[in-house]
Amino acid sequence: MKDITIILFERIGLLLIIAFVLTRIPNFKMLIYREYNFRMTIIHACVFGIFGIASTHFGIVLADGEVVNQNLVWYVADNEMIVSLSLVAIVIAGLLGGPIVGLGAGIVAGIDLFFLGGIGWFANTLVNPLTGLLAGLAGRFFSKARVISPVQALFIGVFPPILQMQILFVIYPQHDTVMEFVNIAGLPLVLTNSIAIAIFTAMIKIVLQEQENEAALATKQALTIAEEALPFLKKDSPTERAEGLAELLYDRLKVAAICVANEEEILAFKGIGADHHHVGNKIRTRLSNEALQSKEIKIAYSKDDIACDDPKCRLEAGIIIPIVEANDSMSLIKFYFKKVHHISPVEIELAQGIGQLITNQLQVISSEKLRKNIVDAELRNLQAQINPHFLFNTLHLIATLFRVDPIRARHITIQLANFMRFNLGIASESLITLDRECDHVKAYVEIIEARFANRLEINFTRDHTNSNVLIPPSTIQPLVENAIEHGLKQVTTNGRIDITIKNRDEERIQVTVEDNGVGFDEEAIALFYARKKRENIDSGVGMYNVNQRLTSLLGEEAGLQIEKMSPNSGSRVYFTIPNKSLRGNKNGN
Amino acid sequence: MNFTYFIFFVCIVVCTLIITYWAARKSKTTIQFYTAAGSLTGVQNGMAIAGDYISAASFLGIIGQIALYGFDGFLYSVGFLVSYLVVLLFVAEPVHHLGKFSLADVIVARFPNQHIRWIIALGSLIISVFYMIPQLVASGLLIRLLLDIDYTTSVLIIGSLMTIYVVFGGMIATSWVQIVKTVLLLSSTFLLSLIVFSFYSWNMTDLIAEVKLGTPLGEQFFLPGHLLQSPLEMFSLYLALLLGTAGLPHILIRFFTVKNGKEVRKSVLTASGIIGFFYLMTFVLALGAAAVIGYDTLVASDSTGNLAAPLLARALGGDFLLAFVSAVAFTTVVAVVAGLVISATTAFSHDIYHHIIKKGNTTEKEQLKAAQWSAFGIGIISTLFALGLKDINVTFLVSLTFIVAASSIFPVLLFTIYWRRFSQAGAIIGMLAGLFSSMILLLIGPHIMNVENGWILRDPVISLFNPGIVTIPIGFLSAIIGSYLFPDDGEFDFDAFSMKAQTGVDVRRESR
Amino acid sequence: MEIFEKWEQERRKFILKMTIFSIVFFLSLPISIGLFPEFMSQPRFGWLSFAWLLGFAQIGVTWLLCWFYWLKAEQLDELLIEVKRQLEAAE
Repeated sequence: MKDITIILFERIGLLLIIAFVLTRIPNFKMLIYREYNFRMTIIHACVFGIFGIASTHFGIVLADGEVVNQNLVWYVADNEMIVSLSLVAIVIAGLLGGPIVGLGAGIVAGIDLFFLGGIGWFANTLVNPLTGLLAGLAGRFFSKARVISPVQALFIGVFPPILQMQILFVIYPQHDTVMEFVNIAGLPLVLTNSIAIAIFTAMIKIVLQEQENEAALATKQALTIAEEALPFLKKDSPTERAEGLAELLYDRLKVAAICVANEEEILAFKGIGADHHHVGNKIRTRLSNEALQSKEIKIAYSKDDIACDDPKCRLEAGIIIPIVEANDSMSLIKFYFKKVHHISPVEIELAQGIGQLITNQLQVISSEKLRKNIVDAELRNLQAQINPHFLFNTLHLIATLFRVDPIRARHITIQLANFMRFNLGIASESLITLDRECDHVKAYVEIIEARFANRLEINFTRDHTNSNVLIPPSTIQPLVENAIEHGLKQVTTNGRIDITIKNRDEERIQVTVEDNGVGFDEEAIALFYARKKRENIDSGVGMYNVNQRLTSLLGEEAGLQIEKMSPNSGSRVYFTIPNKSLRGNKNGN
Repeated sequence: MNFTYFIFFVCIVVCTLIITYWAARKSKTTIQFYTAAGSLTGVQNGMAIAGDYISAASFLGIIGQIALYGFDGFLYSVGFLVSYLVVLLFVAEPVHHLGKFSLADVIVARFPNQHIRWIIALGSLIISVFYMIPQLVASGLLIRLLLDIDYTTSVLIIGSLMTIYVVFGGMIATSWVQIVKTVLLLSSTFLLSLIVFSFYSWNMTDLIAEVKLGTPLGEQFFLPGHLLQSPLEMFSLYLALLLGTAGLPHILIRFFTVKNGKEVRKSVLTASGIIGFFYLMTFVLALGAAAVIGYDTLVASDSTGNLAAPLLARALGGDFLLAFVSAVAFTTVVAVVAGLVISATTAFSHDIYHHIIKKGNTTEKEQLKAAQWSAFGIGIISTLFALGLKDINVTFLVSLTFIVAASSIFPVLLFTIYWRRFSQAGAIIGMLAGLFSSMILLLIGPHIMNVENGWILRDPVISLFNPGIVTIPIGFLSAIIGSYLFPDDGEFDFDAFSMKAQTGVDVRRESR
Repeated sequence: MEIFEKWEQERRKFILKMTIFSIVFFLSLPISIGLFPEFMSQPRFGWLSFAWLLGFAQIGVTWLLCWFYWLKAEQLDELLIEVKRQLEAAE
């Protein structure tokens, strides 16, 4: 009995080595993840059945109580009995896959034993399916966990060989060979089977644990990246943002290269291939466009998909992640890999996760900015509401007019009231109709004209436009105010301001404020375009605020444009708004 | 010691200890310790009950009785099974609804009184301990057969093992050990029966013929009357068996481990299904033992035929099968004994310690400690007893337990649940009367007072081996008389109580 | 609580019937063997005598009666749900 025990342990050892190697292969690993569809069940049953067959052939053959065949079992004579290790695989099949998988695997292994023959062939054939079924049921009963614990498996593994021996007795009563067989091989089988099953179960648990760990790590990584990306995402300059992001991603992920781009061109590139993937290169590949259109991740599986012009480019695969910004403009982040098999489900999940997180971050950031601007505008409006200088001067004007031209004085008083009332109402709405804004401007203009009657001429022209076109409140008036306070500060006569609103084309309406004053100097224009805000109360601040609100609510194209008009000097500030009246404003007007 | 046996022995021991460890990690509060926190399903509980019930004395003893004496042995099986109907019809659900941890809780739900608790606790303690002793004795014999260790050592091993279980595992461990053991027991008896049939080429007549050859009774084998001397004995025994189960504390407390009445019923149904099936198979095995081994060999190994099953296994399947069957028997013993220790522990630590000694003022932790200590103590006591009772007849002690249970606890339980006029005094008197009458009659009966080999070498006063027919009516009558002589003051709301007992619906609590 | 009384009545009737039947049927085994030993012990079908048949029958009948109880209890449970509902409503 001792000899047999040792031999069986050796054979079991071989089987376990093969099993372990199998669990390192990624394809086999996928098999272990339990899926409840019919096809998977069949596949599982077959795989384990084959393993069971292999186990049988790794067994030994007994004749007259002596071990016959030392090598693999190929043939069993009629007076010999096979000591098969197939029950290990079958029990594992049952424990892992449930009763049906166990049954199926058992049938496969049983058929093999059927054909091998020898004494006790019927018992062997019968016990495998039966064990598979029972093991599956026992597994379900003992543990609701995904995989039974090795210790419980150990206990369960003791019984299949016992069952086998008893079935042998039932089918072959009073049989000396069988009796001898049980005496010699019974205990060794029990021992080796249960230990093998326990070890196998432990192995499978480790594989599952690995998968969970990988997933956990990937998630952690994605979250860390999103957090670290936050300072970069907050930056206003798209180039700075892109560079910071690219740097961070390249540093943190195991990729060959990172590319950050907007809809038109590359904004940043880091990694292998930086020599020919330049900032400013246009985005042209089919896959990139698909990604932009569908707003879904696209994966480039070959060099063709990447479509790089440089034949020496070492990048062969990539993942393209579209990022949607708050105002529906898009960016792309691309992960590049040297070989296509570097892309695993983990990488894809990671890419998706990062894409989603960054999109969310950007939306949060922009709505924060909008909120700040609105708060800012509110503050300014509060200021404007009680702008003492304006009020003082206008009242003084009214007082003067009172005696000279009472009708005009009354008129100016009413306009002042309108203007103030309008200012009071600004805070609550983010968009109003163009008509209302024009009324606001006109009220202001009338007052100004009355004040600076000799020095200033203001023209207001308006095309016949759609009356429900929307515009943020207090966008035109500040421009006029700005023109007066800065542009025409030094001018004493013949100052002129032209305010025009015209249909530029079917889609857009342009609002222009021109003056013939000193104009903006180059530096100021540059600063304005570089989106740097000046903290002091200056022409920059009010304009900046108007610009921010225009771009946030109506898109980039609605931003302020500043031009210096030469040769006359003077400045021209204009912006375009969409000629759409269908966009409801945020307060449900 | 044979190598084979040793390996098997170690294997099973290790596995059951592991289950205990697993349960120990979960068993941290008293509720869990006592009643597995309602976590068992009806079927699982039923399997555990079956495991609790089919003791080593059943598995080993009955097979021996039938193999030696034929019909009379079979009567034991039938009686054991039918008693479950009594349990189901009358006591199972009410016990579940009325009590929480121990049997005394159930009675005290009606009579909140220290004395009652005392007596009931004492009664259940006695019954549990006495039931335990034949188990230890039987296992001692078994281990002695298999491993050639001497009796004392084997009893010590079993005693300490089961104490360890209960101290660390509480009810969950024993429940699961019992469930596992039930599966083992059933499957191995089933397979063994198949082997017996196959041994005689599936020919029933051949088997019967061999049986008649194997026993000195020959053709008479199948006639009743070989063991039980008179019809009165037969009736007396049968009655005690029928009513006894419904008074066994270690079975009744199992009804606390499920969560509602329906699961209780399921438990009983499952248990009776399993037990019935089991006894049918033991019948086959007994026939096999008579045929294959023969009367003389059986008696030679143990005078009461206790070792019939293992010997049969060895004859049919060599040492391997012998080792397996013995391992099953061993697990059986451990499981039953553990169950008994739990109920005895409950009686002591919950009823006596918590309620009586400490007057309800203990923390959960203290209770748990007390429970564990009492488990330890009871384990020690019964082991010591078993050591000193080597040559006792195991069936005697089992029947004592049934007679005591049927005479003392069963009447009191029945009246508590169903009889309006039952009084506190009636309970006390009934219990004491039943207890004492059964013990005294057994003492002066032929088991103890036997000219040849009894403890007291004189002619017995009563010739009944099974005095149930006398003691059971005594129990009932004294309870009735006690209630009429000393009635309660009538302030008890029997209707509400009855409703709670039958249905679990507590009228007082519903109005919140 | 009429529903509860109804429940009690039904249950009582059922239990009574079962009990009477059980007492008669089950105790008939030892009683009949005691009163008519020859009649009961004579082997009828091979080795089986009425005593044996009755013994085996008792196993089967026990199962049967348990099952009857189960069915009846399910019925009674339905009534019980109504009882509980009424109790809760009465607050």
